[in-house]
Amino acid sequence: MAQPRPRVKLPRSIEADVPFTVKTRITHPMHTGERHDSDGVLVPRRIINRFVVSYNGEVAITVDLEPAVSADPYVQFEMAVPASGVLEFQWFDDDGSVYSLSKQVEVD
Amino acid sequence: MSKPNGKSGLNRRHFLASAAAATTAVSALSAPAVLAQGRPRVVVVGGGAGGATAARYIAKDSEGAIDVTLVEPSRAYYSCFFSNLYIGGFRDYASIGHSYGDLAANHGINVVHDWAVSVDRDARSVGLAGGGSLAYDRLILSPGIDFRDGSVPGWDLSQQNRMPHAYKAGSQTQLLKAQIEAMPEGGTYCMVAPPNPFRCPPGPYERISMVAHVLKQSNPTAKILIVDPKAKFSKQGLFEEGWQRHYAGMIERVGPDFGGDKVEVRPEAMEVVIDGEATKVDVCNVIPAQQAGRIAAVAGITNEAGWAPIVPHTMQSRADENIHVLGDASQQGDMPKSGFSANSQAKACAMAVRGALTGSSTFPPRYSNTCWSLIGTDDGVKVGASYEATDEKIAKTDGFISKTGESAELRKATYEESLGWYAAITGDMFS
Repeated sequence: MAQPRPRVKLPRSIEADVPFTVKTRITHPMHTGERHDSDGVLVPRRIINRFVVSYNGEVAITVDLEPAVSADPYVQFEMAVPASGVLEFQWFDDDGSVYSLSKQVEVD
Repeated sequence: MSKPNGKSGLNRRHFLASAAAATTAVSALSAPAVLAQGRPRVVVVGGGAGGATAARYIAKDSEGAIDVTLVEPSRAYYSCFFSNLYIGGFRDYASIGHSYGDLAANHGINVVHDWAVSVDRDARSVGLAGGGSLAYDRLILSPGIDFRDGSVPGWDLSQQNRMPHAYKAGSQTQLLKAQIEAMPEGGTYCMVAPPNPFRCPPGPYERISMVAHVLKQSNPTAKILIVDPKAKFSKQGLFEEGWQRHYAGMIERVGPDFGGDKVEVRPEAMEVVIDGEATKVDVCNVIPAQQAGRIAAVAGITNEAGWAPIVPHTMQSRADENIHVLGDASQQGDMPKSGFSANSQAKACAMAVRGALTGSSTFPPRYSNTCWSLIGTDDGVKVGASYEATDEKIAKTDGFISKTGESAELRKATYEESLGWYAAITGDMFS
């Protein structure tokens, strides 16, 4: 399998303390552990089980994902920040891998 | 159609119809001026699914009563339809190539291998790049598509060897296939998909399927990135289901929600810049925004969007009743830009042209289209519809589409149906 690729979309301009939309997605097959492959062999469970966003090192949102979540999980949420800083995004895989991405937020 | 002198209620079509119904003596006396000078002349520009079909049907059905010239620069035609299957390894290159030889030998069509570069609508003649000109009573333009300059910043035709479009079949298709096969292990193939409207709506996504099919075997850690300005695309549910089934984790599509509508390319660095963020790629297949083939604009019959509006009953240009426009270049309404559509339109056009020039009977046209796509081995899907001519547009009357979750047997049957269609349409164009 190709390496999962995370992607984050932030608005062009962000104002201090004004909520903005964060869109996130990671490519991942999200194998439920219930499906069989074309040879009839059960495909073992492998999902992104946890997604965490931190702002300047402080956890802003944590999402627990379940096997019913479809492939390439997409998470969108609103947040506000008081000043410029760094947003860190982390996706935790069943196999122990952690995929991360950080975005510098510049407040206008 | 205007009335001659603005006085008589008898226009040319009615005149011909009544002439055909009259006695032989009267009809001979009342033949229109163009016929008096000899056989009426039809010039067809573009030897694809629209032009080759129209030329063949006019020549065949008029049984020599109409002089047909087909202008096409290429000596061999490589079909865009099924060119993705060549990329995927399901067809060899020779099997999508066709010759114009039988059109001359079997139907007496004058095949001229040259570029049409000008149209004098008043004199009714077409200028050729080689210097000659061809007079016509009816001109049929079926020039396909050209690309819109500047639609993908950083890309122009001078970059097509570094970042191929492969959206006109031939050497570009061979180049893209060679580049995909030469990708480094774990490398990235990127497609910059076009905005609507464009040739073959499912085409880019069938190509993705075929690229994935090749890479899954030869380079399974390779990645496929689609940068797409469109929120949705043709047969999306079917393709996404198939991609998950056959190529899980390999394909990522970046739509406008993640900046797919704000893309530029840097051919020298082999970079794709999505919403300001540069990504290094190994193959970059840029399919730019499209418009009617250039000769349509040169003839002055295109609109602001770059397409040629037509009269749905006859495929005549809205701007010039002596010119018909077929296929991708036309703006006709609900039909997708496809080889099947162009072939269907060409038959209606051929009937209308013969009716106008020889008085043969005409009937309300019926149009149809089906677009097959191959997602993986024996996994074919299709979408199609029937259409009728209204005063406003070619309007869809009913349609059908493959369903998600279909059985492997049905998908295989759908694929085999597409093979039959390919043999039939290429026979309809070239035999």
